[in-house]
Amino acid sequence: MNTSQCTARLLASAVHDMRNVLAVIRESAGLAQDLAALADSSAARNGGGALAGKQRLEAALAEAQRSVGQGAALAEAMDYLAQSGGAESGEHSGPCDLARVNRSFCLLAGRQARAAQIGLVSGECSEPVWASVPPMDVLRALLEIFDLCASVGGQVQLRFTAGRRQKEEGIVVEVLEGANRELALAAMTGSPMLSGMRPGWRAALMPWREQGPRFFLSLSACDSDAA
Amino acid sequence: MALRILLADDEKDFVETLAERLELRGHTVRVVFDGLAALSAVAEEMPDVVVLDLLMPGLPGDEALHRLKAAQPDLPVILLTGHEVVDDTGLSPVCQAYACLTKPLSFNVFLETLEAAVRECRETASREGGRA
Repeated sequence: MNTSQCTARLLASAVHDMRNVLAVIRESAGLAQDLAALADSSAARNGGGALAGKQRLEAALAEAQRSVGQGAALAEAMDYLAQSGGAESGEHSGPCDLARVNRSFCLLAGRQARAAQIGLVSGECSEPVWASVPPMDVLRALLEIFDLCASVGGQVQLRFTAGRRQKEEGIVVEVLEGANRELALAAMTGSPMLSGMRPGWRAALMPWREQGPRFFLSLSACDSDAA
Repeated sequence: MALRILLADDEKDFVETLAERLELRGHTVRVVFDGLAALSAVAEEMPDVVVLDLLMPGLPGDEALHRLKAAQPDLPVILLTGHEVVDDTGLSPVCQAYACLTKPLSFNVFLETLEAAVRECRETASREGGRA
């Protein structure tokens, strides 16, 4: 997978979600208008009905507010994707905060994940995890792991958390639950080297057995010939 | 015109709010969250019009559309999706839809499209019935 393909897929997923968010805002605001228009006649007919209408009106407005927050988070992730793509075209390639890359990925890929019946969870990080790797390559590696799980039929929950293993920065990958959990674990175990990296970069998905059924995504620079 | 409408979309917040707005206007709405459930719902009780999302878990909307049109050629189906649908070839299953609408869209436009789809479908059925 090259950078353009990765960007296109993540953007397509994010745009789909953004349109859904806007659609929820539009319909929630429309429903609020509908209920406000009905409020007077409802109050005249039935006090209890007016109360239910008021509660639904408040819920619709809360839904619109929540959706605006979702839209803002998606926009931030799309902005980060744009900046990451821009940085890759230059000479400078890092460092990047793996926690932020990870959060952005889970937002951007959310729509695709729901269609593949994959739950994506971004693990909490109390502080940034800086690593000298290009963010686009981290996104590509995460998308490749996502594809491994989709290839076995999805229906799993994945948690990505930026972290360290033996002083090396990377992403901790866990398959939390789901009908295809064992298949997903087997697919990941059989795919230690991810193939979609640019020349000069290497990504390895290594089992981290002492930590249970989890993996550590390691990204590092290498000779172009070895990549 | 009060319609029986089947909405199939896995975006629950969106589809349930849309259903509520349609019901406030006197329509009868059934909501399902994936393509297979849409096929079952049509088999159980024929709606006047079906609205399908394209990207759904399990059976995607284009495949659900293809199967629906194979079983019920006269049933109007409208696609309502977060993806722009572009098909210059005319060969895609999405071409069987009465209309392809992109979210977010005006509720009035949506309602007018539903009513036009049902009206045209009934007129066509009536003409063909007259000829037979």
